[in-house]
Amino acid sequence: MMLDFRKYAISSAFRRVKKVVAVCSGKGGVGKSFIATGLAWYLKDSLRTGLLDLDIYGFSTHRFLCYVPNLRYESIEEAVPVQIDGLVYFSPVLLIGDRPFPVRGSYREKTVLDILSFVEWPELDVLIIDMPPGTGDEVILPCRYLAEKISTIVVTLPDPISLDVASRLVMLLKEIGVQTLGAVLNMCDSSVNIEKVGDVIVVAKVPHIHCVVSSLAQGRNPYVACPEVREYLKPIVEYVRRLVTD
Amino acid sequence: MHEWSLAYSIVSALLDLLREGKVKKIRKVVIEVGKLVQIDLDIFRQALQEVAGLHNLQDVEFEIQEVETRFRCSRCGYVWTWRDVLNKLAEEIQDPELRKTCLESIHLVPAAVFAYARCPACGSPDYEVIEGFDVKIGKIVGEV
Ligand SMILES: Nc1ncnc2c1ncn2[C@@H]1O[C@H](COP(=O)(O)OP(=O)(O)OP(=O)(O)O)[C@@H](O)[C@H]1O
Ligand SMILES: [Mg+2]
Ligand SMILES: [Zn+2]
Repeated sequence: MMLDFRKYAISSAFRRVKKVVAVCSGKGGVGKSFIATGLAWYLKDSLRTGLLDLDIYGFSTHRFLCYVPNLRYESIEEAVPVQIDGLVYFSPVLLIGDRPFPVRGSYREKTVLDILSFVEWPELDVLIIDMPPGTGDEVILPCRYLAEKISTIVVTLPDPISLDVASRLVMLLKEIGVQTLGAVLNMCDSSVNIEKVGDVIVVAKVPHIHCVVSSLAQGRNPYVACPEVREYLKPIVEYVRRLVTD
Repeated sequence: MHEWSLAYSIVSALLDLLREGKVKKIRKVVIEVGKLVQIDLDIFRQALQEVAGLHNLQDVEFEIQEVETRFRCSRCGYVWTWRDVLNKLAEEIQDPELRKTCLESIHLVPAAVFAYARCPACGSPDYEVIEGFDVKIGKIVGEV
């Protein structure tokens, strides 16, 4: 008899987390990690906030946070998840550093389930998940195992092609039965006249911010170094904060 | 830590089986543990017994079977074991702290082995784990 005991491990690992908000997109490279990390960074001012990087191939949130894991001295068993300026954080970078991760098929699914089950999250009002692009295991499995506390935010560029793929994602999330809180149009002028992605309302339009590029190039945390980032992300931060504290 | 949470989830799964009436009584549970997961078998056994005891399952016998982990290269067909991986890692990762991190990573997320190990014969990152990859419930003996 095959017995799935993962669900117990996962609900136990997340038992102290009130809400989970997954930041997803159809297409890659549209700014999910930038938005997800910023959302977590600003939410931590007023809520107990966590950030989980579930992009097992392309994890990158540590770069936005300018966090360099010290694989040498942090025994992962004791230090997971880590705290970065009050943000409770886990990323695969803590397990494998900067090595490539050629994991596929059923091992990929198991990787996601293992990460979801072994990280013991502390009391959190909200945990933000940075998802890889698309609708694979990383998106579907948390939706399955965390169904009662997960909702999503969809990030897309304002061009027709990205919007097309994002609408398909919105459709799928609906089918899965997960609520999509809102959409963020990234690299988008405020003059752009798009108010919905599928049937999901647009809650923020974030332009291309030059300071983000330059501060990352200098190894500085853009959420600290660029005051305009806080301003542009404010609508989505406030929106999520309200939903979470309701 | 990990051993205890595994024990907790396995016992929870057994309790659900009983609750749903899929089995009436559980006599024995066989659990297969792949070597690469590096479970501390004594702690695991103790954890299973204690957690089971808390839920009136103290009569269940837990049989833990360690399974050798075997890998097969998809490029050259070479077959190797967890022991070979350990030897190779000892060679490649000299810093004991880094090695500890590596082994702990594989303990928590067995697939992390794909980040740390390559085919010993040809260096390929594309290989399969033929057996002994994770912790599985192999068999449940009871009354239906
Ligand atoms: N509004 C913005 N202004 C300036 N740079 C941005 C903005 N949004 C994203 N970027 C930059 O664009 C690049 C891609 O963004 P990001 O990594 O967040 O995309 P992603 O959707 O997470 O990608 P992937 O699909 O690979 O996970 C990053 O270098 C990021 O710093
Ligand atoms: Mg990303
Ligand atoms: Zn080979």
